[in-house]
Amino acid sequence: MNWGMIGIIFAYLMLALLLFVLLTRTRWSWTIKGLAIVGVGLLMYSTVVSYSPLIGWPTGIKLPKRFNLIGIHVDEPNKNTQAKGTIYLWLTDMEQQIGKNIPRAYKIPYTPALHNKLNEASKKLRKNLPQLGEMELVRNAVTGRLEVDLQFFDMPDPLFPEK
Amino acid sequence: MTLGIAQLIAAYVVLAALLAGLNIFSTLSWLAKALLLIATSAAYLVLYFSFPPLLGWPSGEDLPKRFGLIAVYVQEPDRITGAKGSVFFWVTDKSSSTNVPRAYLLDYDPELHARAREARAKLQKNVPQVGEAVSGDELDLAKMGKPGEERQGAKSHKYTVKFFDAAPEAPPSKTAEMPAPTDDGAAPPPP
Repeated sequence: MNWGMIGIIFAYLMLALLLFVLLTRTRWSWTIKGLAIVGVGLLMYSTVVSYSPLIGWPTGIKLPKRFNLIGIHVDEPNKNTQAKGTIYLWLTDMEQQIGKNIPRAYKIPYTPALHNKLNEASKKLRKNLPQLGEMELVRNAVTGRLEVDLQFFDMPDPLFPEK
Repeated sequence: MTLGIAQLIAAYVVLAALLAGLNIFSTLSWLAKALLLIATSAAYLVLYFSFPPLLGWPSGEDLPKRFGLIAVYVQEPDRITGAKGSVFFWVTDKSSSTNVPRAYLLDYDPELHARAREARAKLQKNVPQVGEAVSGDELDLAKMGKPGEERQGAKSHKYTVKFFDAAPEAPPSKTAEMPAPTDDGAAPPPP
């Protein structure tokens, strides 16, 4: 259970509370109250069913500070469609416990500099060299906006205990 | 707009309608109505901030029937912790117009792991991979030749994933417009 599910459950409880107050504290006919019960029940059921289609797609939240890069997918900008381009990354957070690290998909705005860095990282991944990524936010000197900057390093060898 | 987002918007509208009905038609005191209004507004904010933590994680839904494989990640079973293992795929749906990759999670299976490993090896050699996910009845060959009682359940409903080298993209058509010659009269660069 993560904070996302807790938030949704809280919203459902609010909906149930509102329905309860409507049923006990209004003078509406029981036909309307019955319809409200059925409507809220259907809504809760369909929201649970609709949760699945939302899962799996990349998120736009901040990247972890240090991560193990698994996959890269780039949508370059398109002058014809005026698409600005997007970079998708699939990675595991280095803060997660080993063995429990589940890869998560992220998306960040496209920049040529990031694309070049990811090309280099991709070449190393193809040579079976795991890549450790580090993210930091830097201010663009021209636009003044904070942008994502990534650095990639070959993953260090694991330390084995002495015999 | 996906069905999931539409349903969530509907939830917001129902919540607002219920609150309006209560405020107008109920016998509650104004203090109670004000508290309900504040609590409902808090619910909106909580819902809004609750969805980002859910996004990005792999989905347990079935893989698309045909997909372009981008990456594979395998967690093998662990006898010590009792973890059953999982195989994660990051793919684009070939039947969809969108090129946004989606992550999927499948239960670990040694055969699936072997196929995924081969597909990953080909990806590393820059050979794009197309996957096909087929759900159907498969004969369990381990039960062939055994007495009738032991053969029960020999046909299992199995979900199989197979990978193929992607067909090379067709070259551009010769009838496509050629770029205009440059000002110095030099031949235009090839498309």
